[in-house]
Amino acid sequence: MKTIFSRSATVLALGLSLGLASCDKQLDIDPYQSVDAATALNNETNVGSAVVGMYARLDDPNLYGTNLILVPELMAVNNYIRFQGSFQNYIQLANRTTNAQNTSAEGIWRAAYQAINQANLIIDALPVVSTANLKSQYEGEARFVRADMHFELVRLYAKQYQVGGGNSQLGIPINLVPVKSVEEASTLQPRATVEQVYAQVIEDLTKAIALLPKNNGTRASSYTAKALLARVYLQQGNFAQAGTLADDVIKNSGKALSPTLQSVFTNRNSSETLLEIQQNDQNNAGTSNSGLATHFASIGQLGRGDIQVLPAFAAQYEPTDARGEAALLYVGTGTRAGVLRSGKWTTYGQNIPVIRLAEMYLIRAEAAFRAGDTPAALADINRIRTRSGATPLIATQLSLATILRERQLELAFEGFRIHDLKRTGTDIFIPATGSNPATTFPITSDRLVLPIPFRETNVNTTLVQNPGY
Amino acid sequence: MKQNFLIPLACGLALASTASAQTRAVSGRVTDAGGTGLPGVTVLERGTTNGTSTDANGGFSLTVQPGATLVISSIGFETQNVTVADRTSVPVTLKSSATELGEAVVVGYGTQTKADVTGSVTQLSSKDVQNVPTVSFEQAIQGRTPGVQINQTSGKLGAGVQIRVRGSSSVTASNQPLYVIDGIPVTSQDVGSDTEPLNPLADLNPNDIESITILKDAASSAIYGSRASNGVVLVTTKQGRQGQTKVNVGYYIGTSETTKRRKFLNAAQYKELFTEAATNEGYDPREEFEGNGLDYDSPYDQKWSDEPFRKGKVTQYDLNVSGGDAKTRFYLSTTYNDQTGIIIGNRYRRGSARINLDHSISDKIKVGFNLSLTRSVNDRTPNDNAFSNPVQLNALPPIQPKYDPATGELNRNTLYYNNLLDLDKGSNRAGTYRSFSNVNLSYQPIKNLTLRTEAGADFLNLNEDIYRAAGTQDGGNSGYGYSNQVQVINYTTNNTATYLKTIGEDHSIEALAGFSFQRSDNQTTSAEGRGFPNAEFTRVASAAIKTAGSGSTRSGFSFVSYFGRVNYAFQGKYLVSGSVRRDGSSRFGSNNRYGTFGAGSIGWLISEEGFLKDNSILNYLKLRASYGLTGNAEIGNFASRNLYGALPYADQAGIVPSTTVGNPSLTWESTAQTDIGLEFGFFDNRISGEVDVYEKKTRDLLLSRPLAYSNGYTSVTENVGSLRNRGLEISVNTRNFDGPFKWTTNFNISFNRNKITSLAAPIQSGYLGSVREGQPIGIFYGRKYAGVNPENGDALYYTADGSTTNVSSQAALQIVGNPNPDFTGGITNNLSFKGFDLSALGQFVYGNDIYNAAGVYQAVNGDYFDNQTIDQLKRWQKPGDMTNVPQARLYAGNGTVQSSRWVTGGSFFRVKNVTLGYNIPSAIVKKGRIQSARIYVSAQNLATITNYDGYDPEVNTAAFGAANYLIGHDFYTPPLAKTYLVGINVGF
Repeated sequence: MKTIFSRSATVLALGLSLGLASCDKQLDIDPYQSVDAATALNNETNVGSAVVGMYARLDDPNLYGTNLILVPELMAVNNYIRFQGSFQNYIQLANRTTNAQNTSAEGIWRAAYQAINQANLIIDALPVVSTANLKSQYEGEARFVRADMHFELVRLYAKQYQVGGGNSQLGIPINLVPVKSVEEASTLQPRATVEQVYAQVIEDLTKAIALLPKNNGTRASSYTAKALLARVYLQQGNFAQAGTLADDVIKNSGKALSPTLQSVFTNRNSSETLLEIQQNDQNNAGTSNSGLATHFASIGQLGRGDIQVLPAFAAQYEPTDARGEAALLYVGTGTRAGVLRSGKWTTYGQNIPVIRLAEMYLIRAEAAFRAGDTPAALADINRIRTRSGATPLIATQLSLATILRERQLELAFEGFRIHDLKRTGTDIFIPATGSNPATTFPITSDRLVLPIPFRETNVNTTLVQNPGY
Repeated sequence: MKQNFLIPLACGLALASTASAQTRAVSGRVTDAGGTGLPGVTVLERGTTNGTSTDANGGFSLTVQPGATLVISSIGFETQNVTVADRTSVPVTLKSSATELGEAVVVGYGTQTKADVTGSVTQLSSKDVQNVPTVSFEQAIQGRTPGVQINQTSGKLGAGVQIRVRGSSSVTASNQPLYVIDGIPVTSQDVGSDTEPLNPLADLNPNDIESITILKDAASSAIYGSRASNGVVLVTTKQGRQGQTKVNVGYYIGTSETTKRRKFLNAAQYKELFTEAATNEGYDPREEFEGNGLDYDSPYDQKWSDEPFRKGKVTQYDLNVSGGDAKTRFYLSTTYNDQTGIIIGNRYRRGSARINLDHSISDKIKVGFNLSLTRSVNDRTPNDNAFSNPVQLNALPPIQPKYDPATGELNRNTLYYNNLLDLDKGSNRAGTYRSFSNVNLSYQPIKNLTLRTEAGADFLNLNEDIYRAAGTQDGGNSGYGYSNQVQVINYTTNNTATYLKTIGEDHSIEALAGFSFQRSDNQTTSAEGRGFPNAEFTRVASAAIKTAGSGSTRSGFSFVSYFGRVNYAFQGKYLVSGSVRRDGSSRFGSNNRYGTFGAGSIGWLISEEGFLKDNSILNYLKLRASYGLTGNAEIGNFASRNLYGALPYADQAGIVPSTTVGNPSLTWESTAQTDIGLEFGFFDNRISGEVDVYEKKTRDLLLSRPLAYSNGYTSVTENVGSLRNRGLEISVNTRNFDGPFKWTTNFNISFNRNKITSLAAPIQSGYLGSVREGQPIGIFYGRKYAGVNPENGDALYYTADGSTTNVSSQAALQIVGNPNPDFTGGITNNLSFKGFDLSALGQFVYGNDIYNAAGVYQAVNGDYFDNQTIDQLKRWQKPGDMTNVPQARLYAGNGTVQSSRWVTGGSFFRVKNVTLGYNIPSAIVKKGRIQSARIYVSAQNLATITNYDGYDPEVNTAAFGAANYLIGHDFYTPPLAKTYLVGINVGF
């Protein structure tokens, strides 16, 4: 018996160890839809793909795909639009009852920093890019995106930049380090001041302007970076610099206003846009729960009909103004039919213009007016008005209010509203309804600053929550 | 691989040697108490694998060693040990067993008698699952399984079922047990692409099941190593038995209804509430109605809340033939099951066939072959969070009619999508082909050694097809089509050597060694398109635009395992057992490829001791204890890797890093479990039962440690946390009457306490479900509703200091409920008299909370135009009103924030199944060549007693994802069906 035991044990052990050796190989299964991070950015082509991926990030529904455009509108809905949908996150924003768990506040924060890290990883991988002009282009694009995201975040999650102030109010964490490992990803960064964030944004954009080519197809060029920097300076109240940059873009970028405003949104990559997020039917920000057309449109079965344009706002367009006519302001035929909808967002796969030349004219006009150059301001404003068939203004009609109103009319539903109200210190006008008298909501209210996401303050204990949350 | 798994077999062949001893032939007849011969009873020489089974008349013959003891066992009867001594003929009368103490129990890679088992197992038999009008077998065993909580989660046919064996052992990895069918681990988790999971176990015909064994403690489950922490469910299918060929034909037909419906406002109440809500906010009600597309003067009163439901029906045709001779045994079956759901559009059909064969090539070599083929077609219900979910129709205002009066067609101008259009103009179907197979060869080279090799395959082919014509919500203006093909190929080989030996009178040893390899491959191919010429074109080929859902993917995993077990019994009363398994898996990080698991257990059959033997009161007493280490390998196939994936930018190809950081040290979760059990029988087993206490400590929990978003990643998966489950299970069986009138009762109750003992950071879902240190998994955490200020009708919430506030953002976040029940259980009564039998199964769950996440829409005192539940009429109207429903304020968010306002107790007692049957006396049936005939009527989910105000307290929506901590969330989730059926079984 004993021999049988030992013999069988020996043979079995042999069999098992043979099995062990070759079975180890059976345990090596690689993923099929992914590549290892260690080699993902190891050559020029791969870094180029990562740059494309960085732009693709910008189309995330939490960034320009939806929220960076929709949220600034919802934060000041009164006398303008109404959110009719059922998403609690948007209802809270529109009602100014936002709390720190708001999913939009969390989503924007998350997606913006993912884009920032992608930019950092690209900058980190630049040594493998041997073609010199590609190397500088990629760095410029990465710095552009990094600046843009920091700028969007500081506008939404911090109090407005104060002209002449120390701006030591809390901004957002600045992230310039490529994060690749668990250890790096576990570091906790506190919020920088608003001043520091703006300084970083300006530094990155300035470098990007130098690095980027003058023409970069549908991607960011040096003029795109200049246009964004103009927007940044405007938000800071640095009108002179904003005006200078806008002027540079208008004169030298080779861009031109499209014949109609509508065509900027219905055509792809029109002559007017300086930055346009590329989408198509396959790849877009969403067709059911996210995406701009999803929320704005109400055309047959297309769109959720969430955003109603209020008659009071529509009435500001004079009858001949194309911006108030059927193509750009239509009566919905789908969900919640019968009320006004914006014609800017009408198909799921349309491109999303983020910076367009008209904004540069409006910046230059405002800068000129503030500098006392009324004729220049008037020319720019009328340029925008006449394109859409609105009656040109005369000098006596021109005021800061009319310029800002023109901005609102031209750039409506494109994510400018709360930012403009904040930088101009304009309280939100709440018209009378029924028995409630008209009133205003202070623009400096804590409620108009997004909360640092609850999840983020949980994880990163160095973060100080915004007041009111 | 092939040559390797044949090696153990080859070694076995080399060991062939002859065993010679004096043997004697013994024969006998096994009968029941009434003297009727029992066919198919297993007769085994104790301590050996030498055995046979009885023929059609109960007769057997066997050649045994001198002094042998025969172990006579059959399911449903008490096992008997009969000493042969020098007899050549052994008559045996088996006692029917209500208590199943002596039953043969299926364990990992073998079987044992219940008395010898030192682990904690629950075994159920075919009678518990057959002819129950459920889609899959787990639904049929609810209430019968101490320590195992089964939740159907919704009334959708073929939807996922949640099973927790001794609580939740994991926070992020799967909590579902490992399913092993005829020795082969099978694909048991959803492989479809829809949010609403499908249950792959529905592809197993419940009528083919012989037994279901649930391995609960480490002693019984550790042989499955890194996949055993959530328990193991072993399913054994029916085998043919030697004897006369038996033909069984069965049929049932039934009808079903919802267990409960909810009451919503009618048109007048709706108008009243919303007029008041608008007026309170200073709006002109008419303007607000019209602004939302509602006709203020609508003459309609549509009861939308009835539209999602209908009367369902069930039918099943079942045929099986089994039998065989001494050389070859077979079981053939075919079943067709057709269930029309209580939810509109929901229907499930399954046709299946099975052949189980085993053949003895010689006394020493046996081969077996099991093969099943199943085709199922499921007309699905969309996920709960889709506007196309029929239950969401209850949100539509009653003042909007179902049909557009102008066109006579379904109304398209409803507040939310009138999803009746979906059924009118589309389909959503999942079709499955599934095959479970197993080929095995066993060889007994020497008397006590059995070598067995088997190869098994589980092929799953799922085809999901969705079509929505133009004019539906998903179809948009041009139509939408989607087709997804999933192929899961899962194959396993098990190779074992089992050595059984009785040394002298006192020592019996069973040793098992084995090797196993499993590989699973999952491939999907999908096509999605928009732009169909018209509704008659339904395939994606006709679509103008192929959209983002088109693509193909592949994934897979492998396991290489070595295992062994030794069971030792001394004098049949002191039992010791140990098992070990070494698992390697492609899923484990490169730093931790292999893990070793194991368990040890002891048992003491106290009733075999001299001082208790022949005790007239206490006839059976066994104490057992076990301790062991198991793992949970359901950690995702590539979670350890740091990866980049593709992210297209319009038509350009981009790459981006994964949003999670990789972790090369990532590995299985480990669970150390201690179990102490006591089994007892009093008064000749008139009262018997089992009590188990256990503690399961899980460490290295695979937790997605949230990372600061500001570093660009969402989380890293690490083995960091720990949790604990402690529990008590009691199961008592009694034979209340044991004469011509028989009445037996089984009662079981289980208490489990789950506690998260360590956690990297709290995890909060987008709803109330959360994971927090020191609390049970899934604890509801959020704002605590404090009712209504009687002065002004404001909704109030508790702040941190216990005072109240009407500003919801100032409310303190706190624990507001616990979705884990205090205890669960069931009670079964079986009565029989003459030809009649009656069984009644009650199921209960006590002490859990349910959060109705749809409350923010459907019970918010008219905040928006969703129809409201009837209780919202109790809103605050004037100072001094004492109510829990705040003042109606249109759009104003008065009490709308997610809070404990919609948390209610979810305890329930359910009359799960009542079946009354009548066996037509054989004197009558035998006239027509019929052996037996039984007719029965049965009711499933007959009555439910609960305080839960939603549809059904047995609920957990799948709409928010499959996170383990989302327990007890209801979100427009349809209730279960209440089914009445009548059936007949005829045997030839």
